[in-house]
Amino acid sequence: MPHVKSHAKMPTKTFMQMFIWPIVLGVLTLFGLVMTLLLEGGWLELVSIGALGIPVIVMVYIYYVKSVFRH
Amino acid sequence: MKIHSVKTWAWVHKWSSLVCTVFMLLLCLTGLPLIFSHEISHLLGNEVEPPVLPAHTPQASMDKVLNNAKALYPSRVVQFVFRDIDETNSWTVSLGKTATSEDDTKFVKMDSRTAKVLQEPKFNEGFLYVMFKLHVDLFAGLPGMLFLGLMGVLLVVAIISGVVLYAPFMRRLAFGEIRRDRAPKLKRLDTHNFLGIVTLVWALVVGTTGIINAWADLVIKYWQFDQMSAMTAPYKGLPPPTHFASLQAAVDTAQAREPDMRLGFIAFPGTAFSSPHHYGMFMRGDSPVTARLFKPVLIDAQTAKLTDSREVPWYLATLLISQPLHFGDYGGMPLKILWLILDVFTIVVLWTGLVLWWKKRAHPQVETEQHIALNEAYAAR
Repeated sequence: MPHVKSHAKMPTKTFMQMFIWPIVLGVLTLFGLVMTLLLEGGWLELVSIGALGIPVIVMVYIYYVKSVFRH
Repeated sequence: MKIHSVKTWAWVHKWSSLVCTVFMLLLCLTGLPLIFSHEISHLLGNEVEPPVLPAHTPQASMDKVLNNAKALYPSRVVQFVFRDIDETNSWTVSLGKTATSEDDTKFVKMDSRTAKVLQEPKFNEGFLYVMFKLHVDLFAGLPGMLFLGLMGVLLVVAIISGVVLYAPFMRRLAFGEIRRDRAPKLKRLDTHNFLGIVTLVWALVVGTTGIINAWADLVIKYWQFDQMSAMTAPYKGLPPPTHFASLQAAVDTAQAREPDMRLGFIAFPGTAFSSPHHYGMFMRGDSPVTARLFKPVLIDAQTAKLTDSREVPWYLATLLISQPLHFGDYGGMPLKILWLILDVFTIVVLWTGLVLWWKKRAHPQVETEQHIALNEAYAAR
């Protein structure tokens, strides 16, 4: 294996640093999926569908919008 | 994590994914139109809505609805009478060659107020039917269903091993960082990792509920053996009925037994959801959950009297609850659109994973630890 020198500026991250956002988005997804099924319409159902929408919006924003701004 | 265990997880991720990826791509692609099957059906003119009549127009007798449908196919046997979850003004009658035949079934959609024929929808041909069959059983019946269920198990293994591998590849990267200005390989890897980790929970839920759905036929067979046979035990060995009571009377009996529920579908005598002596009346509630947790009420087909009614057992309840979580049909159009986006991003995860493997084949000497080291070397911006 060739010696690869790591010259990264960002220090090695801890478990929580790596997984905090995946956990938050995962919990929102699960909450949205389950609560939408349990609720009987009304504005609360909009909240629960919204909870499922947040990870999707974050994903689309980071993947498409953020990169457009950068370039 | 020790480099040895990273290698093991990488091996698990590679092989579980490789085996199931082609089938998962097929399932994601065929699943896309199925999310909007109702809307597509309308666009293709395969489903007409009942006409608008003055509110509170009374419902016609079920006997009249049934007889008018049967008149189109007098030599056939009625199997089911059903309607969509949000439908109130129509019933669709299915007529088979026998009570259990599955090929060449005829469907007649009836106006439930006028008992007039609205249309003969073709549920067993056309674009959506092909998508549905490819998605459910690859046109291979029960073995096809169970095979796709097995591929679903591999998908779950691939997802879990993918989460484990997320850590060593993200030690020096910010969440959502996509290295676009470096090698295409890095952009592909970052895309795979980022979209994979965000769609993770959705993919796990749709994957596991898909595995449960693959067992649907067997679960229903077991329910017949376990519950239906017990409920209809007093009728065992009796000759099949020669005359049938009024269907409307049978519906009324079921409604009286469950006054707070509404009729979801009727299974006719001899079908998989009833006995040769009974109408299976399947009642549903109004909330998204209770509307799917059918309550079977068995009505004697000769006398229209109540025979038995039981809550569905846990295994059938699990199947019934896993269905909406797989279909995404319980939150109107907003939920369908989310399902669409998540499905498309899952296709990207599958595709980038496949390309990453394909390109890496050309450099077999690159070991997992080298891969991680190179990944981190390029983390510097």
